[in-house]
Formats: sequence, structure tokens, C-alpha cells
Amino acid sequence: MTTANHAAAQIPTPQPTGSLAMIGTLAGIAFVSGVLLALVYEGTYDRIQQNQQARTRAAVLDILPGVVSQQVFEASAPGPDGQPVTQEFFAGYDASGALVGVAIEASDSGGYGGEIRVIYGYLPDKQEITGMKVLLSRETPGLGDRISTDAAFQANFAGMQLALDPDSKQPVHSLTYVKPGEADKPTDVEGISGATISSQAVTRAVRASTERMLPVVHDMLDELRRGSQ
Amino acid sequence: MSTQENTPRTLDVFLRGLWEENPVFVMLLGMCPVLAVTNKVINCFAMGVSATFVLVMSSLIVSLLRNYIPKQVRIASYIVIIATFVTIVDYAIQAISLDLYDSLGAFIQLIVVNCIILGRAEAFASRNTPPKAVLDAIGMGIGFTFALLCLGVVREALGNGTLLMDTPWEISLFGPRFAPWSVMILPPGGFFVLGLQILFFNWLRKKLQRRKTAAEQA
Repeated sequence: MTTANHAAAQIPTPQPTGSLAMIGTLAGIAFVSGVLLALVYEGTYDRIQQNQQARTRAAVLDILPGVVSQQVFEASAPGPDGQPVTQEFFAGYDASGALVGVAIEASDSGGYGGEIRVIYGYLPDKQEITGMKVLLSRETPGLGDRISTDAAFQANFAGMQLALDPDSKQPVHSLTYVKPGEADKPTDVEGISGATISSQAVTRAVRASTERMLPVVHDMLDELRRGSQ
Repeated sequence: MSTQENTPRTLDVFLRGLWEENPVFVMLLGMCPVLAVTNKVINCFAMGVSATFVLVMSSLIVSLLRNYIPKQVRIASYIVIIATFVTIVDYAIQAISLDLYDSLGAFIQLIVVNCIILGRAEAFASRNTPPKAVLDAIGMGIGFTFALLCLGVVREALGNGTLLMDTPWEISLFGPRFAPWSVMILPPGGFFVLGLQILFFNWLRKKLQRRKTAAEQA
């Protein structure tokens, strides 16, 4: 505690302090803060990455029944602008090493709070979606975020028959959003009242991803079946 | 309890934040997170603990540095100190549990602009010794958490019919036939409940004050 600084702190109309002192103080605090944050970032980085991977892996095991091991594959499919985009997806295998199904991430940026990212399971043999899990959402707590907790909404995607056209490999009926209680086709997704925008975004995400990725997945089936060896 | 002098007694410093100068119900500070996060009890709890940690740590540092920071750059310095601790909390919560992180969303980052913390740094920590500053911060932090929980319990119960939803200890209050009063979870519900609770706590404080004055006169 220097006398000059102490005096400056006591006088109501502040005496001019040298610019160097101000710059020095701010730079010093910012430097210490930067070093501290770099250390904390380094210290937590691995844990955070692990948490994120664990969440995705747990989701794959969750939505593909009977799966004990999984492997990451890459596929190139035309993106929204027609240019091919490479996307990773997961293939799940049962205890005997046979392919059970695939889990594919899908996202849509039209949620109420921005991007919504989900992962869904698909059984190529049965042409059926097994379920959907929300990986990332910033929807309103208590309303939009029910897309990840509402049992009735989740049930839309559990065991959804999604027959593919034999030639084009495109879904015969694409996923369609309908109001709660109005579903009459297996591919109709009943929204949540109070979370219309969020449930529409999830439907769009899964719909776009199935139309884009499923033909490619079916083309790769042989490679996926060999994958477990 | 006359605590309005510049050098209040040690215990009063701690108790003031809880009741007499409760940051939410009396000083009406930090209304933004109070209205935003109180729609779930678990959010109130996590937000209260995080804000208390940031409050205690930044009060300590501000108090330690109070004679070295030039007056002209003090607010900028306080903000950098507060932001540092908020970012540490942010990383720590991500490392502990992504689910908890998701349920708090952007609210953790918003602690930076919480005026309770800047207010205590400017009004108290920068003028008092570190032990007093820390005690004041703990009192204010607990007072803030208490206020958040007061709102959260009412809003979640009326808006969702539960307590502690999205945790393993979820309790359903009104059975399956309860139709949730959704507006309570939405922002307007925050204003309704906050307004009524401020009314209630003001009435209660006045009543206690009157009783004390009467007791002193008798």
C-alpha cells in the first residue's frame, strides 16, 4: 500500500493517475486472468471431450437395441447445396459381431434457440427407425426442451417404419410433422403442444438426414457388415 | 440492528445479505437471472451455488487489490476478475456434467453481468478488508440462492406440477390429472411470482420491524 495510491482512493474527485499505472494494472490483471484460464482450459479439456464422446457413445448404445460394440464410418452424401459433404456415422454390432444398425447425427438450425442436434438409430434390414435422442439443444427450459424428455414425442420415432423405394433408395413417405393426435401414417411425427417450433425442427432434421444418408448407408451395407472384423 | 455505518460488526456483515439487505427482495439487484433461471428448482440451486462461488472469489481478489487498482479503471478491472471466475465455473460445470451444463444454458455466462457481484465489488469489497469482504459475499450469495429457490419452488410447482424435475429426486405434487399452468414457467410467470414475493417479504419485514419497535418501547 503506497501512500500516493491510498490518498487517491480517499479523495472524492479523483486526482489524475498516470496512464502508465492504469495500463499496467489492466494489463497485469488481464495477463494473470489469461494464464489462469489457459490452465483451467487445459485441465478440463480432456474431461469435457470425454463427456461429449461418452454422451454420443451412450446414445448409440441406447437407441440401437442389442448393440455391444460400435465403429465410426464416413460417408459422402450430397449436402443442401448439392455439393458432396462427408459425414461420420456409427455402425453398431451385436455380441456375435453381426451388424445391427446405424446411428446417424442430424441437425437443424430452425429451433427456437438455434441449432438442435439429434442422433437417431436405423435398422437397414427392417427399414425402421429405432429411436431418437437429443444431443444438443438450447430450447426454452420447461417448454422446447421437452423434445428430449417428452415420452409421447420420443415414441414417434421408436419403431417408425420407413420403407425405402427399391430403386432410388429414398424413403417412400418422408417424415411429416402433424399436430398432436393427428398422426395416421407411421412416418407422421406428432408435435408437442407448447413446443411446436422445437418439434418441427427435430422432424426436419431427421427427415433431411434420412433422405440424404439412408441411400448412402444402403450402398455401403457390405462394407458395414465387414466392419466388425 | 443499526448496520448503516461504514464499519458494521462482523456478524452483521454476514447476516445483512440474508435478510436486511437481501440482494433480490430488498435491493432488487440481478433481476435478469432471477427471472430467467427460476423456472426449475435444480437450475436455481446450481445458479445460486455458481453465483456464490464467483461472488466470494471476486470479492476476495477485489478486496486484496483494492489499494492497487487506480480509480479510473476499477470497473474494467472488476469485470475482468469476475469474468475470469465465471469462465472457470463454466469449464468446471462442463467437466462435471454435460447434463447440468445443458440445463443451465447461457445463464452461467450471464453471471458476468450480474449486478449483485459488480455491486458488492464496488460498494463493499473495494472498501473493506478481505475477511469482511468474503463474509459479506457469502451472506449475499446465500441470500441470492435463498431468493432464487423461493421463486423456483413456486414457479415449478404451478407451472409443471413437480419439484426438482430433471433430477433423480423428482416429486410430483398434484398427480397425473394436473394441467400445468404453463405461463408460470414462461417469463411472465417470473414477474408475477417475483412481484408477489417482494410484496410478501416487504410486509413481513415491516411487521417484524413494528414488533421490534414496540418491544423496545415497552
